[in-house]
Parts: sequence; structure tokens; C-alpha cells
Amino acid sequence: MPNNSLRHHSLAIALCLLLSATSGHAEVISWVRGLFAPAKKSLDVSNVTTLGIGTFTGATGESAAQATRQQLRPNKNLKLLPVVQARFHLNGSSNSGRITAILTERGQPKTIFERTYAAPGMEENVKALADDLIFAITGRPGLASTRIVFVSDATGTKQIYLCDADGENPQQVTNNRYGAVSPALASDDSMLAYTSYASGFPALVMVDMASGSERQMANTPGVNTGATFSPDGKHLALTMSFVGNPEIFVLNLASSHATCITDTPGAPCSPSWHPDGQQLIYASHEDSSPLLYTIDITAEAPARLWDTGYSFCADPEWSPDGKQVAFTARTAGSMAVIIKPYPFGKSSLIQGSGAQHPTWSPDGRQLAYAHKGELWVHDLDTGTRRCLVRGLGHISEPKWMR
Amino acid sequence: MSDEFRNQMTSLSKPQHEQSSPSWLKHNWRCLGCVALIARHSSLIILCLLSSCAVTPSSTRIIYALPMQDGIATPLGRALGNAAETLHFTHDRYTLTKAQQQTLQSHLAAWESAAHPLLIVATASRKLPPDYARVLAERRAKSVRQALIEAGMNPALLHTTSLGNDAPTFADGDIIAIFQNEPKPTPPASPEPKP
Repeated sequence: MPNNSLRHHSLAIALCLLLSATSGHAEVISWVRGLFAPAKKSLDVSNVTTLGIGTFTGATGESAAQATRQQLRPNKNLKLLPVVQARFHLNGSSNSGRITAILTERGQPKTIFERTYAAPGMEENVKALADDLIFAITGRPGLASTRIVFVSDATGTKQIYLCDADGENPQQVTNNRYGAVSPALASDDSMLAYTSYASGFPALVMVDMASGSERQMANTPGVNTGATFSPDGKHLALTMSFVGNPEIFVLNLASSHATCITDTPGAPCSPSWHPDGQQLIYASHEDSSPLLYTIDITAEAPARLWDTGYSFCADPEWSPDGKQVAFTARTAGSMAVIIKPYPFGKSSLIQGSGAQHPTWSPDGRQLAYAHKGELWVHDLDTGTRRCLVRGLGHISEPKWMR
Repeated sequence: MSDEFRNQMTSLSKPQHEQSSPSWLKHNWRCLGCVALIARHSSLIILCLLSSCAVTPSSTRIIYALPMQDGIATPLGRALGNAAETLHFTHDRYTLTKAQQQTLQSHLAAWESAAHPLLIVATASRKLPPDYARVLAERRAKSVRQALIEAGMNPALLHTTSLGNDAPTFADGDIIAIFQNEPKPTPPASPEPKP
């Protein structure tokens, strides 16, 4: 159990000197999003979730309207109806894949939003529009334009891959000589952090997803792994061991300074941020096997053991609302994905027989995980699961962008 | 052959060697088997040779901290044999047993007199979650380092690295060369308040 005394001793490093821009542009897939950010305000429409998609003018208008219907159809909280029966109406135009959309509410004079989506391909524009519609009408983030990052050894060496939330368009992101592992995507998909074995030894690397430029954030002796972005995207939490035993550090991305927040004789790993940005949950092997601990990074209190009821726990991740934690536990000799309300409540087995590394969808309704080398997703509303990616080597360490 | 054995052999081998075998060998399974065996173990052979060769003024020695599967040494551990100093860890353990401490003690005089860098390379079981495996392996390496410091070795000569269960393929070189070419990180500087 970490003690309080050394937590006061904040260790910080001028990692600025370790920063070095590299030229691995070709390894990274650049991605252009719509020109407009998602809506910042949502409506209180808890009882009304009907949308009618009306006329879309222009050369590609009909196909844009049809693609938008298909994109929205799986969403159980947004029912598509004929325009005359629906509360919300969507109209617009589309030419050469570019889409202009207008969302209105029946009986209301004001337009809810009017936006233009001008990414190079219609598919990206439709996904961005669908996410904006879902957020504006239901108040929950849409998943259409979110992506999942994971590790696969399809090339013979572990490398980082990305795919859409539905498992489509899997793409290799890294091509490091000795491999790349432990990826994390920022909530706005702008930055990717991962552990690189490019030099042969583990180093933390950041990738600007728009430009493809890479820079080495931490190349300290020992291990640099488990990086995860804070909710505001300004910090990374990760495990480093240059000061001695492995500890959890919080790395300020602007200043490149790192602060040690744990003091444990064990093996702390896999930190995950609470949505409030002030707490972390992580796994640590203090005695005989790893258990889960929480720590308030803004207070001077020691880390607290969170009793999950399992004797081996790893890979914790807080749900987007902070009310549950998903983690990997060892049950009956094999790994399993578990969710448990935080701080109290009955845990639920999501998938046994070797499932590992759960990660929440941004809307908190789905849980992706690695199972027998494949990427699976579990729908928590329906209890059903489906395989997103298979046949792409051995998949591990999935992480949903959020 | 266990999954652990197969996986570790695969990760330490050079797949391209198997793909580039001459076509006439495809009809001679014995020859093909020999070539494949050599190719698959080439990394291990390189590691063994490097570990057993005479220490030169610029050389670095390696200590391996490796997992055991069900009480049995991993293929890497078996292949290294006496050629390198290996310590085997069972389950999730990262502390040293008395026998392991005695193993280190038996080499201590030679290491101290040579005054060469020691690189402690640690791995962990493939059955463990990958991120935990990386940190557990590093913790094992730190245990070995600490034991050597307490036994009187110069900390400046002791370096650790964790490969977790990622098993990077060092196909074109060896871990010592990588280590010696690695730019040395800058030491820590001024502290920063908590975020």
C-alpha cells in the first residue's frame, strides 16, 4: 500500500530535453474530419426520440440521406419515422459528398443546427452528421465517427492499428522495427500515445494524427507504458521506472514535466482517469497478485485499495459517467472481463474464457475487449456481443477513443 | 509443444527466413526442418554466443529475469542454459529467493572485478495482461538490480529493461548492441507541483 510520505515528494523531470521530433510521417494515417465540431448543447428530450429525414437536394443528396438513415438505424434511442410523424426533422443538400444539414423541431421556429460537413469522403461526413444528430437529440455522444485503437501481431511484430467503431476500415498505424504496444487515443482523436520499441527499449511516443508527426515524450531508463489521456487531454498518466521501482506518473503535455503520484514497492500499472480528471484507478501488485487502487491526484491522501471481490485484477477503466469500472479478472484459472459499480455494487461477468482488456464506448453503452486474439464488443443494453475484427493476427490491448 | 513454447519461439525467430527457403528444399523435408530449426533459433544462438563470449573492456553482460511456466523454465531460459545468468520467477512473484540471491553472489566477484555494465533483461508470462506483464517484468529486473547494489555493486553499472510479454524480435542485431547504441536519457530536473 502506498504510504503518504513519499507522495509529498513530487518527483518531476524536465523531459523537454528528451523531446525529439521524428520523421515517421508515413507511418501515420492522417484523418480529416468535418469542418465543424459537435454540438456543445443538447436538448432535454428524454421522452422524445423520433427523427424524420426529409428531402436532401443536390447530386448526391439522395445517397447522403440514405446513408444517414443507415448510420442512425442501429441507435435504439433514436427512432426513425416519416417526417410527418417525427418530432425532429432533418433536411439538407449534398454535392460531391459534401453535406449541408438542417435540424429542426416540429412547432419550434428556431433551427437546432445548420452545419456543413466537408471532409473528402461522404462516409466520413455521414458519420460526423450522425454523431451530431444523436448528441443534439439524445444528449449522448454518437459512436459513428469514434475509433478503436488496438495492438496486432499480423505483420509478425506487434504494431498499432485503428478501426472504426463498427470494426470497419482497420488500418496499421505504426511500423516500428521492434514493435509498438500500449496505445491510447485522445478524446478528440487528435493525438495517439503508445509505447514504442523502435530503439529496442520501451519509450513513450506521441503522434499528431492530423500531420502524422511523431515525437518521443519519455525515453527514460526502464519501462514507459500504460499511457492514457486525461479527460481534458492535457495530461497523460503512465507507468515509468527511472526513479527506482515502477510508479504511476502524470505527465503534463504542455510542459513535458512528469509528477510521481504513487509510492509503492509493487508493480503499479494501467492507470485510468475518472471523468472528473482528479482521480485515477490502477492495478498494482503489492503482495501476491495485482489488485485495484484509486488515488486522488489533487489531494495528499494515499491510494486506497478497492475491493472488487477478485484476487487478480488488471486493466481497469472507469466508465464515461464514472459510475462503473470495467476490468480484467482471473476467474477459474482464466481471464475474464468484469464490470462493477463504483464504489459499491455487485460485479457482473461480461465475458470469461480468456477475455481481456475492456474499454468503454464514449456513450457507456458498449464494452470492447480482446478475446482469443479477436476484437469483440458487448452491448450492455441488450447483453449481446459481436466480433468487430478477426483474422488480423492476434489482437490485444484495445482502447476506445474518448 | 505448449503455446508458451510456440509463441516464444515464433517471436524470437525470423519469419522471413522460412519464407525465403530455396524451392528445391520444399521437397526435402529433412533439410527444410534443419534450416527452419536454425532459422527459428538463430536469435537464441546469437544471444547464447554473445553471453558466453569473453568479456572485453567495452562489453556488457546480461542477466535474464524470466518467467517459469508451471515450474518449467521457458524456452529462452533453457536455450540460454549456463551461457547467461538467468533467474526464473514463478507466477506473479518479483522478490528474489535465497537460491537466486546465492546465484547472484556466485557471480558477484567476477562482475565487480570486470567493472563492466550489467543489463538486466526481464520478461513475463504470455498468459498475463500485457501492460501488467511489462511492469511486473520491470519490477523483477529492479529486484535483481537492488540485490546487486546491496551486495556492493556500483549502481551506475546496473541497467534494467522490461520486454513484458511483447517479445520484440531482435532480428538484425542483439540486445547488447541495441543497449550500447541507445542514447542515454537526461537526468531528472526541477520538481513540479501536482497537476
